[in-house]
Amino acid sequence: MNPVYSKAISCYASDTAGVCSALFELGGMTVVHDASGCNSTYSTFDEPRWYNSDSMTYISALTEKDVVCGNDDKLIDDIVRAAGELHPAFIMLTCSVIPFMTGCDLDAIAREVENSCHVPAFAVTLGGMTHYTVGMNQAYCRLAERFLLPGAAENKIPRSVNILGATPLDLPMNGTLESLKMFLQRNDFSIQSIWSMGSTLDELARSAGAEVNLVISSGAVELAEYMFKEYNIPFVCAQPIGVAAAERVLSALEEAIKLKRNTFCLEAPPRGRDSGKKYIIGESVFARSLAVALQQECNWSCCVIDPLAGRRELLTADDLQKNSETELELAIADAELVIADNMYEVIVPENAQMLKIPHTAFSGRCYRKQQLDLIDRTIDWESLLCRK
Amino acid sequence: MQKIAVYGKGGIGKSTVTSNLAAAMAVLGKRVIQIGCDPKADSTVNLLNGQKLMPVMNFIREYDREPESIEEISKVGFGNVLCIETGGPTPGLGCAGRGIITTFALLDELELFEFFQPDVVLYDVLGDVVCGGFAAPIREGYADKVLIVTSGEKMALYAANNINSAVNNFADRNYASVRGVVMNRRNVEREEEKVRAFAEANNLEVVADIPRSDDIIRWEDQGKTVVEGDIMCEAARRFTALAELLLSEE
Repeated sequence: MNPVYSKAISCYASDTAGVCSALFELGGMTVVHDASGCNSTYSTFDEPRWYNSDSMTYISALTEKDVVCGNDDKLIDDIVRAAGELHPAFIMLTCSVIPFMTGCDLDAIAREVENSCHVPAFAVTLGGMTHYTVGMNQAYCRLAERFLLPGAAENKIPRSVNILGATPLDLPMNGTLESLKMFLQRNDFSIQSIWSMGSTLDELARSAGAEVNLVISSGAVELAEYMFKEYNIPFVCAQPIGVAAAERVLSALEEAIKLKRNTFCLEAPPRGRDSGKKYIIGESVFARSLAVALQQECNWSCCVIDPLAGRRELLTADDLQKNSETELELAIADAELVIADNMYEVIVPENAQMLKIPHTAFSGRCYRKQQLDLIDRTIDWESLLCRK
Repeated sequence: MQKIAVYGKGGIGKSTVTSNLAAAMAVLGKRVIQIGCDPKADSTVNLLNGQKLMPVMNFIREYDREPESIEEISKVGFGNVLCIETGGPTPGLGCAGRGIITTFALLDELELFEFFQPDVVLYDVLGDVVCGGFAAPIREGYADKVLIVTSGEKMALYAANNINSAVNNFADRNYASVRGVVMNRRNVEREEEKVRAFAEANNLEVVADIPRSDDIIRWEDQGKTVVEGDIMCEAARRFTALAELLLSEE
């Protein structure tokens, strides 16, 4: 059995970080039940918004005594007192591996908190041992279950769209979100809400009024499925990268509205022979959309490798899922080109080329200046290959 | 679906009560699951003709992987009762409470209730509510009722009182509530008076009075519940009456 740890490459942001990022700017308190000082782990290192905007992400300052004695009352009292001062719109509880292992019942604690301070409170019990996309999915679903207004579904706005899965963990803070909005607006879509950058909680609550959801990260697929089940809003999982993929996204959105059909995975028919082994390692919605763009624009046939153990439906039959460095290294051993975050360079074969696309969820702030806005534009892919 | 957790002092007869209740409910035509939540993993032995089954934690330890199907960690016993044991860690190591949580999470993943479609789920829980793990069976989504098994012995009543207090402490959490006391007689002096006094002081009902019975011991020696062995004897009738009472509350 291959080990699932990494010896040279980085690891992705944790599930807990995904919760914090998903809820960062919605006016709620996010409380991570963990030892003092751990806020950096969840919100500082991977969260560019931390430095220039207010946030209500807190650590409970769990001590050994609290763990051993089961001092849930202390946590509840602290949250209720803080909520009295801060007046959050909601309270989300999550935890590190310590309360997870001791079986701390966060759902019950959330219920007690809500009973005490009458602020909507809910929990996602994670242990920091899975990827950020897991945390995003769970946080979004809890929020949707609690806040979506069913009445909004009765007044659907034609060609209105929710963007689902926008966090700085996946989306570079370099105008990419603005490009995405412009792409949709230029094609006569109106944006109902963005989960979860630049929209208020009230705007998110009216999401059921949209005709279609554009899912730009695998961290929001479960939210899309929830909205499809509850409000019959179809979804398309894709990013409009380059020009060709943007066209495919547009037609998929229009088909989704017309046929109420979901698209988990963008595919593009091969345009000719391409015998070289090319791999894209990364979050599956982004990586698959990039693969379509490269197929259409450069005639490069790329195999996507999902290292996040995400949903298989987001990939084509030829794509791969690998969740350890050893497996990844073996999978790309025959590569002539690897497209991935810079921190994968150490496992790229010596004779292979590498196209580096920094991903905050993997390399944090290290390569932020090299991040690219790839949305809906003509891209000179060959020249990117020469980039250091 | 009714979900009932059975608590009580160690050695007081929880497994005897739980497996006879399971057998009686099965005889009454119900689909029953019994989950033993004790590292000793002997809760279901008298439903299985004295055979042991592979507990979930032992499976994980032995095969170094999680079970992939319910069949790998269950056996069907008397009256088609589906028997599961959480088991525990290597004695002296690990964390038995965490083992219960891990087992429950696994059973959820394996969609146990969807797969088996039970009418009743019985959790036979070790001793007292000693930590978060041993409270897992009474959390939301698991048991909704608790039965406390006690005799008239001082330490059994002391444990019963602790269990009742612990469950009451969780009143704000939407956990299970105590349905009543099962008096499992040991023939101590003024036994009924003591047990009823405890029940009355805590506003609890004595839902069953199980006599000290050689029949129970004789049939357990043969790996059976008394309900299976001799359903017409007095002890079996008491278990059947308890089953009928609980099923009438569906």
